[in-house]
Amino acid sequence: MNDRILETKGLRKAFGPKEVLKGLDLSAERGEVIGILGRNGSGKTTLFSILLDLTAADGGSAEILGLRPDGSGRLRGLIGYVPEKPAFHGFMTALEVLEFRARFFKRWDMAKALDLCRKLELDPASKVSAMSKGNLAKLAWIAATAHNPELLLLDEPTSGLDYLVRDHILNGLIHELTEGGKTIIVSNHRMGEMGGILDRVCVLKDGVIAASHGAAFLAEEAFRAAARLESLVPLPAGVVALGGGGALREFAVFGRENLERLKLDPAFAGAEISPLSLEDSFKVLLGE
Amino acid sequence: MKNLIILQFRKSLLPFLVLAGAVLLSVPAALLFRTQSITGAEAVNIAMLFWALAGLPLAIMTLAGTAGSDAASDAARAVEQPLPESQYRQVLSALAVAAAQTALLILAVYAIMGFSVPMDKLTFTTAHVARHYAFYAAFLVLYSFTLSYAFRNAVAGGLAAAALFVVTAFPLLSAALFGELLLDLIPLAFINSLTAVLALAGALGALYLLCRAYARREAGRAAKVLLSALLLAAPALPPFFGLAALRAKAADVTWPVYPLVLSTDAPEAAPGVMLAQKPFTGEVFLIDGEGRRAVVFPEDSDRGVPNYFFPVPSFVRGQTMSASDGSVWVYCNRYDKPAVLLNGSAAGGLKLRAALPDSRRAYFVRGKVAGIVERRKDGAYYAPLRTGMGPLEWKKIGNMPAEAARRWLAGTGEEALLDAFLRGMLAGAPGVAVVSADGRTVTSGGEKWTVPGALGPKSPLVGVRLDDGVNYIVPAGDSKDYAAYLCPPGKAARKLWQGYFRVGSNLWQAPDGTLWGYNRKLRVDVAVKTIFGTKKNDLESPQFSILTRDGRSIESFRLDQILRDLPGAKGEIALVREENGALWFTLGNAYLVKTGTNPHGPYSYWKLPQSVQEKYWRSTLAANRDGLLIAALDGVHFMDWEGRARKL
Repeated sequence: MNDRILETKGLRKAFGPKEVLKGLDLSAERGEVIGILGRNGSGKTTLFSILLDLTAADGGSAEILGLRPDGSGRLRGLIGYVPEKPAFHGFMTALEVLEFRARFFKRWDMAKALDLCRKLELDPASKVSAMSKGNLAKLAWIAATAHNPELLLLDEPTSGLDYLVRDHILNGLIHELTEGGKTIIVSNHRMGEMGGILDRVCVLKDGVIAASHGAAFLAEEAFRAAARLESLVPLPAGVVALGGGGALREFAVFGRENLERLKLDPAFAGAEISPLSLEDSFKVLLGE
Repeated sequence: MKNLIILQFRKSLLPFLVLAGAVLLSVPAALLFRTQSITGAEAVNIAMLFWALAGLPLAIMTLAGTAGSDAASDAARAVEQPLPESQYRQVLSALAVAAAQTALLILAVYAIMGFSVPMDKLTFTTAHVARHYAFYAAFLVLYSFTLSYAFRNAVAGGLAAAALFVVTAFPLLSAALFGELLLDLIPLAFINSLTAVLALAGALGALYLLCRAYARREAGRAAKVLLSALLLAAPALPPFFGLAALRAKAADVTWPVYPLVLSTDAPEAAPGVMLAQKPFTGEVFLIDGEGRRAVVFPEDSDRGVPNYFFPVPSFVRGQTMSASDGSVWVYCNRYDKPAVLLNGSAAGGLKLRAALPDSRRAYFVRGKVAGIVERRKDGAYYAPLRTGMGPLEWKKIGNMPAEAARRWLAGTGEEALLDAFLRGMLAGAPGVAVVSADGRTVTSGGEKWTVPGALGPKSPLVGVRLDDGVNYIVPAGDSKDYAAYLCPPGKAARKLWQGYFRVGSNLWQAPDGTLWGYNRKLRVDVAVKTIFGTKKNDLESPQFSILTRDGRSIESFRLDQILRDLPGAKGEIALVREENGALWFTLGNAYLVKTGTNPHGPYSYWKLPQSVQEKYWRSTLAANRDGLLIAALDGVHFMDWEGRARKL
């Protein structure tokens, strides 16, 4: 059985003169959870739109679940998608939305959808036009998962949600999905909150995947080094300056080998070493 | 797709129900507010016609425009496009619903009218719209939707669709009106079909490209939008090219110039030439069988902008007559110019003899010296026509009494005004006989014939020249037993044919001198009952009586078999030549036929160049000794007696 769920090669997309994707390569294996890290406007939503076969790429290739985007919409029947800003027809109730969607998805499981409503405390009789942002997000999650998709694309899935709803989704739903072997690609500004479930983090920068790190690596081999430097020194590989005032400077160090090399550098003698939080790791990766 | 259609219908249910409700409510409103002069059914019909011609187009633009802009909206992108259906199918489903709602509204209006459109109550324009309603409605739906999708704005899309609709429909309407009222010069059915196909394919093709450019955001967006614009404009091309072709073809259409007054005693038209006109350019010319032409009125270069969109013919009236020196007199009266009197020939050109600025009605008259009579506001004037360049010597020959003037202005009564004068002029002309008051004596020059009693007015008789000289045909007898009597030179009068025959009325002379009469000019299709009680179509054809130049008489000659073989030959039937027992007939303006005296014998026929005969039965032919001059759709043609034709 082929375990590669998704693969893009040299994906390109431009909107007018603005080139958003400049040859993006990305692959995902079955059951893998990948975080796409990128700043606003870096092309995350465009990438998702291409993977969903909503937007045509200008060049390169993409294969998702054995299919290529061809404009037919078939791919969307196999993918669960949670958009950043969920939207449904205002004249429908939540139940009508689910019943309407059930007609389009062959593997739609209405019992599962209603069970999710119960778990997420969403009243199926509530009208879409009267729903809060949180309830819309819940409905989007249910709509994205009720047809048991092999691949989920989550575009800022917790954006604008309050803590309780976020917790509900992150600790309940996503864990359940990951344990079920689903492949998930997620973009999130607050990637730190996803840290526990990610297998890999890809940094989308300048239209390409600029870096890719395993989540375990970031959790275990990312360090903060604080040192007093009298003058500017060249930084070894894998070391990134974080800031600091006066002679006291802070650095992020990725990789245990790089840390060991840093320790041997006389300029960094006496540096204080501590683990770097995931949130800070992501900031460093984004170049913030 | 079914689920998408259900969704789209549900989305647009409210505006549709409002419009449908308005249609239904207009029925009681029409009944409630009708005037006393119209019945309830008429009031409802008027309300429905209003809906059909004004309300429904607006409703269509609203429904389709809203659906189109909605399909392109950010909301649709967020809510519907993530569904596992192609974006084009999603857009098509919205279009299908707009079309279905339009069809339902039209059906409702049609049903309220009792599934019958009162065509007799409509003007030509509205009747044309009614006949092509499905096309126009489909056009508005497609274009309102597509353009609203393109502009992402229902108002802009609707207005653009309305503008394109006018640009496309107006030339079609103009061409249809032209075809209905005048001539079928262009294949309008083909142009209509092509326009419909291009409208359907253009709108759907443009929608597909726009969908790829906007929804799928494919590369080459500008090219796709440009191509869409071209596709959307495509259906406007056939009507405009059709109109241009119509104008070009209309410019070639040639008609004979017909005389203003049809008088049985009018002098014959000059032989061998045709006074022809091109009504859509204003050109009038004299042309002979060799193709030599002399211009009477040149082409009118400035006919105005309205004429560009609807070519309007302007007909002239006129007459030709041979002068004693072999030249031709031409009188021509054009509506916007002074009437002219010219003299000359087709080969040598025409010279203006007089402009007749006050001329309303003038015509040539026979006499010792042939002349021209002109009706003016204050009376009638006569001038003898002598070749040379001197001015015409007008003589007032009758005052216009108040009553006659009133009738004259109303266009009637001129015959009575001058009858006595014309009879006097005719009586003195060569080749004219005078009938005595008791109708029993016919005299011409020194000769006298006795007949049983001439029938009809005792006005002078115009003679016919046969091989033995000038003969006179006199209808004579009593009301129960009457016949045509032949008064030949130097011999006593004798009964020629049973029945009433009078020269200039139903008795004519072919250019070669053969005399022919008929009991009816046209073929008539009739429905006859069979012995089984069913009906079948049959034919009543004219029955000819023929007197050859050398005095042989052929009676009761019919063309039934030929007319059955050539069913498209409508219009006047005329004998144009006899030679050694062979007879040449023209059937309408459609065929030249050569046959023997045996009506069931072999015959030859030749199709004449296409003329205006389809709509107008007056002859477009002028026969001479060598063949036929034919005023056709594309100019003047000449056909000899063996059917060899050439365009002059």
